[in-house]
Amino acid sequence: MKTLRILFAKELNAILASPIGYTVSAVFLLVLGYTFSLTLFTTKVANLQYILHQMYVLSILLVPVLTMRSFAEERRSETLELLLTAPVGELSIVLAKYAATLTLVLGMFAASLLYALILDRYGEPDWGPIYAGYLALMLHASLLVAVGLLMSSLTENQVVAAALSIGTFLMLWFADSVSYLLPPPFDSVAINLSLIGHFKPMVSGSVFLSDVGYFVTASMLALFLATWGLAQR
Amino acid sequence: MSAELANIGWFFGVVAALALLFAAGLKLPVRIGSTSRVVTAVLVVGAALTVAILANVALFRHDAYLDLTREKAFTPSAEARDLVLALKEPIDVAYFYQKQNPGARALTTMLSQLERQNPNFHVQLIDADQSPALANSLGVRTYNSAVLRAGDRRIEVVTTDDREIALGLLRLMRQREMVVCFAAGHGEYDIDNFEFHTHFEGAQSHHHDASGLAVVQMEQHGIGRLRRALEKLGLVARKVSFATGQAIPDDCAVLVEANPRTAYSPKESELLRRYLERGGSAMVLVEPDYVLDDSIAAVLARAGVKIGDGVIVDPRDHYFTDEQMIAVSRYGTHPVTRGLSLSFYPGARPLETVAAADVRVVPLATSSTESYIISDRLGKRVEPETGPPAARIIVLASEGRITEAAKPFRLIVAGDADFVSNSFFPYLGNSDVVLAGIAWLTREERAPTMKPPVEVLPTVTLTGAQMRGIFIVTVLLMPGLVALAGVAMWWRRR
Repeated sequence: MKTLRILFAKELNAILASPIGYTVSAVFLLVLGYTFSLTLFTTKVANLQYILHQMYVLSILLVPVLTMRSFAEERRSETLELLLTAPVGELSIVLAKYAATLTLVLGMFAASLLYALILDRYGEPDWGPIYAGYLALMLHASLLVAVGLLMSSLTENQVVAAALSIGTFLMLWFADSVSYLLPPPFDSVAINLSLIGHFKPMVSGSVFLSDVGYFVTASMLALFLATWGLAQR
Repeated sequence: MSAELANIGWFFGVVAALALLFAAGLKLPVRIGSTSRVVTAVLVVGAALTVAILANVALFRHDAYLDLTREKAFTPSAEARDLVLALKEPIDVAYFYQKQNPGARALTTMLSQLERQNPNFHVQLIDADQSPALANSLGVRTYNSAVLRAGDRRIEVVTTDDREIALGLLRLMRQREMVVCFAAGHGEYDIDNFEFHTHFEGAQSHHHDASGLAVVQMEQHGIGRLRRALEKLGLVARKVSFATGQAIPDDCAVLVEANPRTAYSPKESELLRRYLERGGSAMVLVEPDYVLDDSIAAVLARAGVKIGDGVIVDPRDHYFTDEQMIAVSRYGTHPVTRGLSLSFYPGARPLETVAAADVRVVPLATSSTESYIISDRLGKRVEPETGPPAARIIVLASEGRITEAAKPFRLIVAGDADFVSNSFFPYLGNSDVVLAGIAWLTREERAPTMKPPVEVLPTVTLTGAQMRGIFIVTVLLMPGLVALAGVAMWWRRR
């Protein structure tokens, strides 16, 4: 546990010392703030559904930028071998990178809570869907970061890692649209692979535990494969 | 609730089992047995994917659900729950839904919840894409169709709304056709008329009766929207005329007399009295300027009702600026008024209760205690004409026996008719008032009304300064601070 804590602090420091985190966060908040204010001024509706969907899309595009370095950079600069030969387990390394990146992403999301406070100040928003929406975003971020780390662990080229991540996310996003072409039970698998299919009900305040389970199990699967892949080296 | 808890237990159990399996998987050797590294990798990845998919199948089959919306938009309506709770015979529901449709998926959740309310309610949720043969065998050709069966009776409802399912259940359970008869022959509102118009409110207030015609000539409103709503409830609407001397048919579950324009003859009043004596139910809606014949007034008096003259003016509770458009938000305690929201009555005459043996009269809707009555609606004089301000009855319900030997009747009388007309029926709680009234008169108090749940979006009102402030904080300040922190970090490490 202590090893994990030390590794986490090291990874978080590395992220905070890098300009990438600040750039991505600033762009994220700029686009989001612009959309939020214009949507609010136009519709005058006190809910965050539109913004939560915007965050969903933006995180699909930006999380790969945050995760692409994690293993690919270490492999390129040959520090990964050093790390793997140190007296720390592969699981600790993966979990530390995962927790540090997730902390940054959740920090970005947390900044958007200001929008909810603004709505509360000037209106009476329904808080249920907002809570459920942030839960959905946290689970979504968890999955994106886990898959991003897995992709980064497969290559030493950061751009390839980011491209693989974005490709995977986009495929998962639209997985259900091909279901009608597939025979059973593959059509059901395609529908249940869909990211948006599990995300959308939660944002509207309708929480199915199976949707939560999808994000949790998929994140665990990605982390397992990343760890197992590293262990094979 | 216990099933829900069990499913929550399943969730944690499955996640824990998956974590244990993955932890065990990390201890696998680089090569399993004599297989190569590549084959081992393929086997491990395949096994991990399979385990994750199986975990999701288990979670899907033991799903738990939380509706976090304020309006409980994903929870079955009270009407649907009450109806299912009251089921006394087994009902089978096969719902052929499309998984991509979130509304249909929400309805599957609601149906599963309803199934737990009553063992007589069996639900089968079927993916329409996966079971086309089953859909064909039941004659289902449309996505999101529910086939409701009770014995050899069968109804198909195409919907993603639980209220529609409830209405389907109501129709299925009804053993005989229920007819709502609309009296005709005295210039009443036409059930085949779907015209409606918007209204202007002028200096001389708001008029929908004959006196209003002196100001603007227009066709009378119809009540086609009410008829459609009744038909959606599975009731049959039919016009009847008893001016010819024929008795009111026995198959009329309810007789609706909506805005008569010419006087009843004593013989017609006698036919109405006999209908109530036979245990009939009636709804009588009259406008302020209508002159009642003494004979029908006597029949109503025997039922405990007196229809007063003039028009109610309510300076406190009225809709928008029209003091003659009475708004009612508090109702008398009665099965008809359960859960009613605000309703309004454009130009209403006052009703009174009179003592009648074996009859119980309950005021359903009244104006505020500041209301008064005027008779000259178009004149300039608007001061009270009938004593000090007081609450006036607008709608009342009466039940009992016309004579000792008679069967029990039910009656609803309103001193206004156009609140059910096409122009006013869909707004606020007006449709609920009349549909709940008819449900009581047909002795189907559990019948859900057809008004769909209206999602009220919470809105904000912002001044220009507030908008500028929000824009500066969210678009400039927040991203700017983060960018500034980045620059500071770069400068420090430079």
